Amino acid sequence: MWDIPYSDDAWVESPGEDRYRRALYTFIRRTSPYPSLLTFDAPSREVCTVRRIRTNTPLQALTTLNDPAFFEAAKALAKRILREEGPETQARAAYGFRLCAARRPKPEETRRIVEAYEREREFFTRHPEDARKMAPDGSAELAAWTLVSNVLLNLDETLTKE
Amino acid sequence: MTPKQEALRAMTRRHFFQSGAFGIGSLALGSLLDEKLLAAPALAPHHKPKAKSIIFLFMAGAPSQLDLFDYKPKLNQFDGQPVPEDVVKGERFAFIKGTPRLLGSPHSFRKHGQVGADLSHLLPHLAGVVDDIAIVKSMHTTQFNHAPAQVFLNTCHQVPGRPSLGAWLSYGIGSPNSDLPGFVVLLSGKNQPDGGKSCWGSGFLPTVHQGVEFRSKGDPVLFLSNPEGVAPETRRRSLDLLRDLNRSHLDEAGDPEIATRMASYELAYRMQSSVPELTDISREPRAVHEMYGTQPGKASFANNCLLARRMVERGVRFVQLYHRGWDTHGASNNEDIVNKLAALCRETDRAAAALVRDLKQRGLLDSTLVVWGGEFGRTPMNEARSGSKFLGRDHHPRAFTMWLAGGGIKPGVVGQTDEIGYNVAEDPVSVYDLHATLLHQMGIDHTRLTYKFQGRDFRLTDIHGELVKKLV
Repeated sequence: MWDIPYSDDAWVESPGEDRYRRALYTFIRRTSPYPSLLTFDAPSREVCTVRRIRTNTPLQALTTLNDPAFFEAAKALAKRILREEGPETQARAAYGFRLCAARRPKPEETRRIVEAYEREREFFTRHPEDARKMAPDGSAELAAWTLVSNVLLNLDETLTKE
Repeated sequence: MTPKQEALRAMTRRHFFQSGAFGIGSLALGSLLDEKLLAAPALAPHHKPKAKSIIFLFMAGAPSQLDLFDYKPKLNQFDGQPVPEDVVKGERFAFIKGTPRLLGSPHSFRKHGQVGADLSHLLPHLAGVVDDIAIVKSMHTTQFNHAPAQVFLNTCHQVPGRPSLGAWLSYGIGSPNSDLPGFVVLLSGKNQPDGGKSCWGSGFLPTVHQGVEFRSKGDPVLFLSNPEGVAPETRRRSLDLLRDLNRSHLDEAGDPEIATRMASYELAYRMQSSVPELTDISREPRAVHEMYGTQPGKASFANNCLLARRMVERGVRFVQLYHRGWDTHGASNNEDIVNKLAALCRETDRAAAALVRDLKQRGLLDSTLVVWGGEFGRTPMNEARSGSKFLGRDHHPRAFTMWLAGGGIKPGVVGQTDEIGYNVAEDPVSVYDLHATLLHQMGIDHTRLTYKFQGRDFRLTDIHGELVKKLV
């Protein structure tokens, strides 16, 4: 994260609960700003910023898809869906969607999510080594929900306040 | 509430008009989701283009034209004399107070090439390609502070919010490579340009046209790799799900920005394989590294120049490099026109000249237009801030120098300044004129590429701009 000539300070990932605090609490070093925030056009803080311009770039897409901080959120969402909703796939799909988009999915949306989930569960059953990398217990179910959650967290409706 | 009602309630009035009256969102989706993402050339070209790509070497901070290109023996003759009062009467400067004194260049000049262009000894490499470049000594601008002047030079408007040249190009002629952004920004030097991201913003154009900034240190693009356990085919399937769900939302909300986001995700996916290949300069032959002065893995202007060439080879439409630090006021020895200016030339001269030479050797210079320059010029007078002993010049919008090469630009020297380099004396070229000419070389009539916003048709050059005939 930091590669700075002025001191030996190293970036230390916060342990425990602090790891999940809001980005508001991220330590800002002006000479070496936090990269994900930069991708979302955080100002350099050298001058005041009157207006943030509207942006939408593929770099932002890569961040919300692949940045470990965001992918960890997908893992947590998957666990929450399994913990808080009954065993029925349809209900789980609807619950996950609603947690992200703050509305119930339309029937065709639910159908599409269920179909994707079932395909991924089947894939992870055939590729247990991939499943183990995403779910500590190697559960194809959890791995597949993680992937679906990753998608739900990347929906335009989730990311954009309309 | 039924799901349908819930969705309707979530829709704002703005969305209703966007989707109801015009349906812009759904229309835009058709072109944006095309495999050849930005390649649909619906609006232009208006005539046969000379250039296919532009590489813009933006020297943020404003290099001193009087110590690099615009040789003024009179300044040396009258060095230390107060500037004639009638010249500066009523002038406002960024820092200079009182009556400043003329400052002859501490650097020596020689004539180079067939046209006998003056270049200072700080630009030995550029001297080697001087017959391939057009030096414009008669640039002028309206802004004399960095941020507005940089935004003006990129967008033809001093207030942030208008689309930049690269965004207009992406909007007008698209990009032939669907695996890379059509407009890429590379930064080097001290820090970000003062004008910030507005310099490569898309203004009121859809954000899909804005410049994509690559990091100059470490990985050029973060998070290109999928998380552990996500195989490429898994990623593809998950993006299909994302696309279907977003499309369903787009059909309902009709906001074109949803279409832009969908396109961003598809481009992100393709960049996962195209970018690592593009940015790996370690396999370039040794001779190339020697020519540019590149060192793989190091953040430098030279590396960015080589990357720019590799991008142009792959069809990227507009590559803009920023090198910050040219603001040589002379308030300290670290920002004067003796040491600091020389250091900046050492950082940039070799690679900029190598870029022209390399493009020419590869037969790409005919179709690639290289532009070099900053946001304004520097004063013929010594700034002497608080009596500083170090030599430096203040901001000067009335006359400055840029150079262009390739893309059908005629080499030579265009324009003259008066004998102390204060005002343009011959063939003035405004920022609008520069952009009209750049667009012309790209096959675009600057008066015809427009976008309707807030009730009127906007264009890059607003209501100004004349083609610089001596350049084409």
